[in-house]
Amino acid sequence: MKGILAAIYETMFGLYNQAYDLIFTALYNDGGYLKFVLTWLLIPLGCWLLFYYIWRFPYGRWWHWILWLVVTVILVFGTTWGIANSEILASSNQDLIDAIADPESGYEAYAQTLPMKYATINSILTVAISIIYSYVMKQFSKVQTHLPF
Amino acid sequence: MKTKSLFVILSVFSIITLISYACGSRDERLGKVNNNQQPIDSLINIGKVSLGYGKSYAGNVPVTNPPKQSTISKVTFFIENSGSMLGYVKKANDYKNAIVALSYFPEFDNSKKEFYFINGTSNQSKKSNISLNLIGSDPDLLKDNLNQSSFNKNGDPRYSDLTRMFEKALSCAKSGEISILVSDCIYDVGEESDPLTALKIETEKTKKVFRDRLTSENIQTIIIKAESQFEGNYCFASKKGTQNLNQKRPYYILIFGDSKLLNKHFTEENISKKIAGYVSMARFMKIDNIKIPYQATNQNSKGIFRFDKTNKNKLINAEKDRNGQGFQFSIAVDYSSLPFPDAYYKAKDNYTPSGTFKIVDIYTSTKKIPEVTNFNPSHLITIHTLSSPYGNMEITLKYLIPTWISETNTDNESGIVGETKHTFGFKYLSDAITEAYQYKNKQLNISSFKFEILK
Repeated sequence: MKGILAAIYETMFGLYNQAYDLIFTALYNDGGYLKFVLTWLLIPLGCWLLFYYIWRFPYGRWWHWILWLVVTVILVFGTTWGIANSEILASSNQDLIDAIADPESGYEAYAQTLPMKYATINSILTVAISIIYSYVMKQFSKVQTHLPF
Repeated sequence: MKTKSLFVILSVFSIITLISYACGSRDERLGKVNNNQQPIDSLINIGKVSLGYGKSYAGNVPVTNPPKQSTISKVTFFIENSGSMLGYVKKANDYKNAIVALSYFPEFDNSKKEFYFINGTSNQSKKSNISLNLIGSDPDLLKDNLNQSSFNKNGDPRYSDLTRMFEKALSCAKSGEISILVSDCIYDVGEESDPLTALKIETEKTKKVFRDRLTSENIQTIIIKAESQFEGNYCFASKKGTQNLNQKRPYYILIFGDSKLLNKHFTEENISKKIAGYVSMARFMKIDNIKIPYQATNQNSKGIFRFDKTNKNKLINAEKDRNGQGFQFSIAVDYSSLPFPDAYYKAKDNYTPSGTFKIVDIYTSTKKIPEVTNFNPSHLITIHTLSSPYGNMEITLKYLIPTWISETNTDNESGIVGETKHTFGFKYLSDAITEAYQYKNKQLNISSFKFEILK
């Protein structure tokens, strides 16, 4: 299971760099990838449940849906950035801490670029999953049956 | 109205999300504080939990057993005092200096010591017996007895019996005890009609003595070749008679003891500095169950690959370099548990890579390699191929006897004048020891490093 989650980021989005394997191993071992996946699965789920089943305004327009999507993406982006930062740059893995602290290793500079990359990937995945969630949820919504289209 | 309700929902949701994230961060921070309070536990957990860190060995992670005894409890010296050795003790020279230095070896400071002269033979036809004479336990006494008078008055200096000497010395090497034999290592077969055949027969006996001893314990033998001024009669081994010499001659210091003990205390660097007239040394040891930590690394890599998350010696998604530079990676190894000199590990000829792989470089890394976390690499071996890298790849570190061993031998004693490097019949002795160890060794190579490279 962990291997499949890691493959989404490492293989599908090509984020793996063999020169900094320690980071990817730490994310794999410490459950970082699971947190990333849960972020883009659960936050949009919550957001779109609110949109389709709690928001009772009957005259919602397509730009309402777009605005909600933007909010969802921002939430996922921020959360992913936070998790990545915590899992990589503020990791409790002593080997990774040592590697980042070693100026000759180049780990610190590379590690600092990663939270933004993971956040961007999760934002893309959020857009995709939001469309799926929307098309499923609108079927069972009593108010927003016409959104997004 | 509609805009207002949308803002309310948005605000509530944002607040909930922020609160939950903040709580999570606090928990994490608290968790980190706890980790900081228990650094040892967290370090242990890294090793336990992180699957990728425990797979440096191709097989199961070995359990390193501490040596039974890390200090030398007793050292027994056997100094051959047959007639052929008299030339070494006529005047102050490197032979005397080396033995005295050895008796005062810092590693023996807290060890019980016994010094013996040994000569004579067990050969029935020569009307002699193996003679073992205790000189004492004080290195000063040994120093005072390193002269021709003492050599002559102890035992039967007419003969020497190398096989029995080995037997005695090997029997004193057990557990924390080691033994040291100092000899010219020339088999005493002088009165035989066919000395080379007699040598072969004698070495068969030597072989058996070693085999018998190796059956019960992991005894290592170190042979140190040293040279010293020799002033006296050289006793021919292959014929009757003597030849007066005043020149350098080789002699040998053989150390027997538990392998881990000798590995720890008798490194080449240590010995070469302390033995006056040191020339070379060789180790004969049982090499089964030697586990060398190793791990594939990205150092000097060409092409691309990923490390498998659970086995770092499995390279997946491997591809050759796009610019035709082939496929290359480095292996981090830790040879610190082995006793060989650095040059041995850095000699490409001492390795056998499988398939089309070739060794490009072997070097000591000056910087830390972050991805190697469960051992400290002593060397990096860079391997390269221009062909397809896929499949199982293995590289072995061979167990080779140093070339000086065979180069030291001579089968002809006629040119002894001016001969300072060779010893008659030394090949027979070294072959006997080598074969005895080979017979007991379960593996031919010191270590094998195995990798799997997949597309």
